[in-house]
Amino acid sequence: LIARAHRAAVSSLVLCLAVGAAPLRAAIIVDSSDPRCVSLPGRFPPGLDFVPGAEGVAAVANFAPGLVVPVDVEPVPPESAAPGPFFDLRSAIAADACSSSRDPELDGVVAVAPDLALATASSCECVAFIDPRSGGLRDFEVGVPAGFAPGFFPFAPAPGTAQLRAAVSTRACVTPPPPALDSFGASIAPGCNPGTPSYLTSFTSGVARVGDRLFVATSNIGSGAGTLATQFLPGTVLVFDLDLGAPTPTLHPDAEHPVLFTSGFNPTDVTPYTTPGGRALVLVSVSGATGLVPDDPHTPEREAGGVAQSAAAIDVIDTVQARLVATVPLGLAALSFDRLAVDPSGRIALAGSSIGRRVYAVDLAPLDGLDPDGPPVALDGSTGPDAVIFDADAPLELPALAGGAPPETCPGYVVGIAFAADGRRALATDFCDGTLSVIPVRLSPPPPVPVPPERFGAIETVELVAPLRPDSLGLPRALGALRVRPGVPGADFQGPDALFLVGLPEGLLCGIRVPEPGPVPGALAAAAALAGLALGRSGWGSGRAARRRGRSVPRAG
Amino acid sequence: VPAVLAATVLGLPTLLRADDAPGPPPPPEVHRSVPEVVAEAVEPAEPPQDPSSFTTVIEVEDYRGEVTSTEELLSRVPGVHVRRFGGPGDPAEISIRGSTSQQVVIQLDGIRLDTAQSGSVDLSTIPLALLDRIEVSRGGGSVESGSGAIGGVVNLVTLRPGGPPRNTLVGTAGSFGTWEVSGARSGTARDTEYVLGYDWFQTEGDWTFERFDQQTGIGVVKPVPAEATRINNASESQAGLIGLGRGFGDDVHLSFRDAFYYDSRGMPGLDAGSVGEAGQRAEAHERRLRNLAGLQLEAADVAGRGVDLTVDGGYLWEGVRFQDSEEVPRLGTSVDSDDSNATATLRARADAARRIAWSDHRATLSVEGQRDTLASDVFDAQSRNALALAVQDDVGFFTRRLRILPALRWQDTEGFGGAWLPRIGLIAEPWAGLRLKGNLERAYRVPSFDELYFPDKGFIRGNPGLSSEDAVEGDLGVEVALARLGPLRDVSLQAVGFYDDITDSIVYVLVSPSLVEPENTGPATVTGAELSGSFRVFEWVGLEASYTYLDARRDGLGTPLPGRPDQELDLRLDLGPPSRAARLVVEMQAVGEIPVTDTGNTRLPSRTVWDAALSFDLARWPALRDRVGGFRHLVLTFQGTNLTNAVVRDAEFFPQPGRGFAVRVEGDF
Repeated sequence: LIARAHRAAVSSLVLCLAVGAAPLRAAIIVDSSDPRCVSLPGRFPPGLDFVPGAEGVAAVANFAPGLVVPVDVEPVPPESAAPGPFFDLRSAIAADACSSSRDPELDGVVAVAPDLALATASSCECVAFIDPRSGGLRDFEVGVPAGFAPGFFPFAPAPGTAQLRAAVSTRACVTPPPPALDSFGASIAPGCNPGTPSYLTSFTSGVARVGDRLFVATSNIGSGAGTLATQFLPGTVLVFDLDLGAPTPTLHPDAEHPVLFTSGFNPTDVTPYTTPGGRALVLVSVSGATGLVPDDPHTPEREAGGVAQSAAAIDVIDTVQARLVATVPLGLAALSFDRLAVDPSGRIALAGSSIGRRVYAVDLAPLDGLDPDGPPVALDGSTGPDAVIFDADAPLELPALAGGAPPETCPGYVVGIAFAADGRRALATDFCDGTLSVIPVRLSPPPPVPVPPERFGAIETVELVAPLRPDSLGLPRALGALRVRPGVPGADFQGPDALFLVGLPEGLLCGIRVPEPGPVPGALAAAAALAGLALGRSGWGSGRAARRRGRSVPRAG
Repeated sequence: VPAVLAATVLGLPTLLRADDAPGPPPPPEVHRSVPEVVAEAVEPAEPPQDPSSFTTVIEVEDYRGEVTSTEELLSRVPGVHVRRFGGPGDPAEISIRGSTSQQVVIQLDGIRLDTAQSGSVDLSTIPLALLDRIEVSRGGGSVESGSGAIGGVVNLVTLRPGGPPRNTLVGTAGSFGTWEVSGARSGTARDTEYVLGYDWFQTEGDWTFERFDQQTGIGVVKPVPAEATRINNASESQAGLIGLGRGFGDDVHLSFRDAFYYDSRGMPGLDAGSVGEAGQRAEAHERRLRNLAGLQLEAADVAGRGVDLTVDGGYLWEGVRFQDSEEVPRLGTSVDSDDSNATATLRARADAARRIAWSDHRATLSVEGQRDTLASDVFDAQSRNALALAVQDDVGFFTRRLRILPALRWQDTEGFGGAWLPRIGLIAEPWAGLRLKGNLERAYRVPSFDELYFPDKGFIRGNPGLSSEDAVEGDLGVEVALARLGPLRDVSLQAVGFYDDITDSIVYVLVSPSLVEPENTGPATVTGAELSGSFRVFEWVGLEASYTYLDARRDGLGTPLPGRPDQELDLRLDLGPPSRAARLVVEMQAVGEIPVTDTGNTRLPSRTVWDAALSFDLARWPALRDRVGGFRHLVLTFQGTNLTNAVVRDAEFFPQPGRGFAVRVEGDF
């Protein structure tokens, strides 16, 4: 009490002295009390990516204000890699991409060159061109092929013309193939194209550059996003042709295949992938339609969370032909919305679940053998080889944190997934529990196709931030994207090898060194503590770790 | 504050001496080498129902001629923080001693103004022109007011009926297209006291505002646009008051009140966006209609047994229509809601005074019933009944120099069962004009209908499983009230320390990746101090100051409760002759940093705001007195607010206006 009284007296004196001496331009202060993390200007930062060719620099996207900021990830916590100040980009992006009163809501960022990062945005649907060295916008010459109908890309330049723009609209008027049904099974009404079932693409969710093409996933949510009754329209991937070698880079929708429809609803990201044989593909995370669980008034618990309403899959797009060549069905998996994690050898790809603490895996080995001219095949053993390792019927279950998020309301959401650079560990973060799961993966000697589940070892879990519980107020929580720094930790760099985002209550970017798994339970915790994982005052990440073998349920058939 | 402290400390010994021999100054034959300092004690204000609480009474008459508002006056009370969501006519809510707005009970003539749906009151819906005074009791109040009185109780007393005929007309014109006209008449006709009042307010609310930079770990982030104009912020309100009273013999009095309020206003919402006008909503609109009627019967010395009886009945109806035809991004839908709330209350109270042995007793017994109903096109219809019984005694010893006030309320609220709410208060008055006071009590708050039953929209919903918020709180302090202290007049000083231990705080939290709902979030502790004082010097200079220090933290982690500044300082200097023919009033309000997140790591900057008003009462100027015959007062005021154009925000995305000016004419005849 004496200390408080003294502090009050001193601070009141300072307050009195400050009377009339207000700073010329006041600022909101955003700090981080987590020594691993640097504070960002908004909550729920939507994405980050390492910038190729810029050692130790990542581009971090911010939701509101809309920014992409270069960050030096070598120190802990990370530091800005550009002097700033940084300006909210949203109105400039909107002016070039949608001319609407809607703010672009940045969804993610992909750095494709030392001087180019691509930020996807929904609401004002677009892909913005950003210089990751400064965080500023870049101008592209955005055009539309002459043969296109005027309303096909309504917010792009008129067909046959091009304009300098810092973003390209991803609004396309599309007509889905028959039977043209939405996720409720209802017929899609004529929309932007009178007389035929049609709609404007929306919810731009991911972008991948492969060679001279951009592939942009659009989830196409019709109405009621985030409500109990969300309408999903058939998912699409837009294809743009790109020339980065031109004095002013150019971009226009592919003249032959500007729009590809996915095998299911809700494509949420695209991951570039080159097979060991050199075939350039794009893997599309088709998450499937998802709904929200209302509370059951007949139970004492308060239910919430999500539910899968249509099948998920990983679609395979041949980037040269710009067509769908295969799909890997995963059942009612509700894939999470970040890119896939592909191991460094290119053998397997992992995806998380948005409705549970589950990981799905597919074997990428069959992709080299796909017939380039044949019809799309299902890689589940029906019309093509079986590439499914873990699917909705037999997922890899991650351990729940004891005392973690209430399972009725937050049963798990694997929000980030990535492979460590050595390829022997997969990392998965859970939004609900605030944990990092380290999944040992053994791909040597080369396993059969599909990779047997036994090649995935005992999972250890470390608490990174607080679980999503009512009593977690005051603590960092709500994990976001996870990325692993290329290179060998300790040899190629000394700093953290994994970066993750935190959504609440401040947006944070945090760096950690992922420890090697230990031979006995608890070794990971000890290693984590040594690696500086401990969070200090909050107690989260203070070394508690759980070890448990991932539970995989045998798949039917 | 230092001046008040110095004056008090220097004057205290004399004060004590003076109290030993109260009365006129010493005879002239006594020669002293130092000037005589004389202290005359006065009775400090105390609310009759809660005498041991620390209370501030604002007499609206004292602010005659000033362009001010209910929320503005409340914001200068020690322990009170008013969170404004804009400028004049925009929503504002109160916090007392670190409470939420729902933890404060606001009454109009003793009848609760909050609805069961929201549990809070928008202060901007209470026109000051229709008020006679404002009583603010800090810290608890559950014995008198039941659920919700954790932070305190504000009783707004409307214009009094009766007395000699009196008419008041006021017109104000100000920046941002702001106009206000009000009028009132009170008097007595055929033994019936009456008061009629009306207030009309309108503003365009189209002020420009600066947006904050953000100083983050990655550097400075600049908003775009850096400055914007508040759009869709026009509002109009009309309020009326009818008060009637009549005595039946010497011992019975019957009174009736009806307060009517209507507003129609744009709701521009947050300035969190970038395109257009910083993302403000262009179409969102709210219409509110409210009527509060009250009937009170007072009977003194019932049946000759020395028991006073008061029976109050009140009925509050409020309808709020909110519409936003503009599609909400992502949801793909517009918003249209129509809610109507009604609250009926009936309360009977008996007061009796007795002397038992060597103690005086002033006992009160009250019984109260309340029914709340909600009809809505968003909600299922809801209703709730509550019944309460309260007893209180005010036991005086040593000619009431020591008073102990035990009290107990039992309240049963449908769905939440019964709750015992005990309180013990203490008042010690060792010397006239000096009082030591303390309170220890339990308070609680039953969740609102919004918190309990808001339908599941997928991204937000209510939580029927909520428990009541519970609090144990105490305070201890000293009051000094002196008519004279040397050269000082009307000296008052209040210094209070308080403690509030709250469990099961209800906070809206993210419970799943996409869903927000209210939850009981565990314990929090609020400690703080309030220091306030005022005096006049030579009748020409008046100084008021109040300072609040607040330490509101969640238990365990020690992180601050968001939305509460850790300190607030208010100064008011009033210069002018005793006749009040001319006055210059300068006010300063300094508010510390306001944490806006539950870690406290995001903070709004501190600010200092200066206001000044220059007024002339033409009826008091000898040269003009004859020309304005018939007027008791005819006041012309020129006022400037936020003179340094400080950037002010109480909430992260709700800007407040910068510098503004107003002219006001007030006639009293």
